[in-house]
Amino acid sequence: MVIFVVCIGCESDDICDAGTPTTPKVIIEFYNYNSQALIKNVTNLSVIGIGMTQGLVLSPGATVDGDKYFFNGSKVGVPLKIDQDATTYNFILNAKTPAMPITDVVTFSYKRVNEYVSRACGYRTFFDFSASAAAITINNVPNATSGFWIKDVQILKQTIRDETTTHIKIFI
Amino acid sequence: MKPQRISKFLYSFCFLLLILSSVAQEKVNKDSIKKIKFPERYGVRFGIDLFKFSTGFYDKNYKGLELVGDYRLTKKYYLAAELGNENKTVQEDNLNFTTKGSYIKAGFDYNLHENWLNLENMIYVGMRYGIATFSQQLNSYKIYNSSPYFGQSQVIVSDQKFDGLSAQWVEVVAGIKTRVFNNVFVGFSFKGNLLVANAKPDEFSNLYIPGFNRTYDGSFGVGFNYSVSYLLPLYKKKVSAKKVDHSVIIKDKKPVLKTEISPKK
Repeated sequence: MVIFVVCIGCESDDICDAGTPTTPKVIIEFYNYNSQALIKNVTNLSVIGIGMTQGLVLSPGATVDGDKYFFNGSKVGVPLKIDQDATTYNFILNAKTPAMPITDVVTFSYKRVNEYVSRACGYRTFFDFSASAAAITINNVPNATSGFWIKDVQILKQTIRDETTTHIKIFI
Repeated sequence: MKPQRISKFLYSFCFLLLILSSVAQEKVNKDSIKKIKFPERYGVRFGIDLFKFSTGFYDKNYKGLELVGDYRLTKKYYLAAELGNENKTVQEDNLNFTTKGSYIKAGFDYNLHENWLNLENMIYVGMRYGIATFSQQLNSYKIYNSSPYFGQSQVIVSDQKFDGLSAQWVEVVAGIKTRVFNNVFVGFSFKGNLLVANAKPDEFSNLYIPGFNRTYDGSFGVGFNYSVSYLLPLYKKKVSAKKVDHSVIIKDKKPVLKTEISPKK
């Protein structure tokens, strides 16, 4: 009886549930520059953080292991650094050989706000572009709107609090 | 998850009550055979929770003291109260915090146990209303990152303090208490708690409430108490001779006493 009663105390919410919204990724959607209402797919996009050897796993379901780093589609989620106010990535289009890869270096600059979530999850970070002088830098040009393959950038959401909506539109 | 836990809790609590009541029933049946009743002592009992007190000696993250007391109102009912102070540091996977504060609980205990001879044991159920005022300090935290491409979060040291917090709750208590010698009693009890008011900080949560213990996603909590207490007897109450066979026993005794005394004269 004693054990039975004590065991209620052991049942705990100690594990952070995967469904709990925690630190969000920035959601980027690709659109057609010439026909801006239309979504456009990228081909074999690879996104590699500066200083990182491996790219982001953008196609986790890929059957060939090496293919998981290449993305073919229109909407991609990219994590931002939670210990720095800027994150820089190489956005490489046509990254898969033998095509000719084109690289745009994109830096996201933001202010971070840490917010309490729960006992199990601890805290999460929100990102705020509006507080930054140059939210987006392309190829070292602050507030640039175009690069080698990126033709225009539009920030839809200044604060990134969740992953349910698109935050940034990139026109290609 | 949450309703499941609540139903489990209720189930086990009912189970506990069932056992206690059946134990009490057995005793009642035995009692009906033994008719001799002794005067029952009434008084104030006060003591401390040994569990909280001793934890402070081996757990550097805990310091606490709880004073317990009850006052016998009637044969079955006791006014009961607990007064305590706790200082507890909790390390979670992604959080480390310290809760400090005091609480008071007041209510009653109802003795289900029918004592025979001069025993003064209790198998009881009771209720309390608890009030706590406390502060919480966030010592450190981690940021939960479900896509740790750049590595997991470092521990971020914080000294954010949340003052002026309070909570109120209702407790259901079930326990036993037994006299070990003279006027000294030991007992333990289990509590099921239900929060009715909880003044949380805007940017944090009341993860531990002094007197209530750890909080869960819902409003429920549990507690345990192991106390030693001392009875200060105030008066004795003779058991009124309601049953006919009682008076018979008393009348039968009187002549025996007289015959014992008379030869000495």
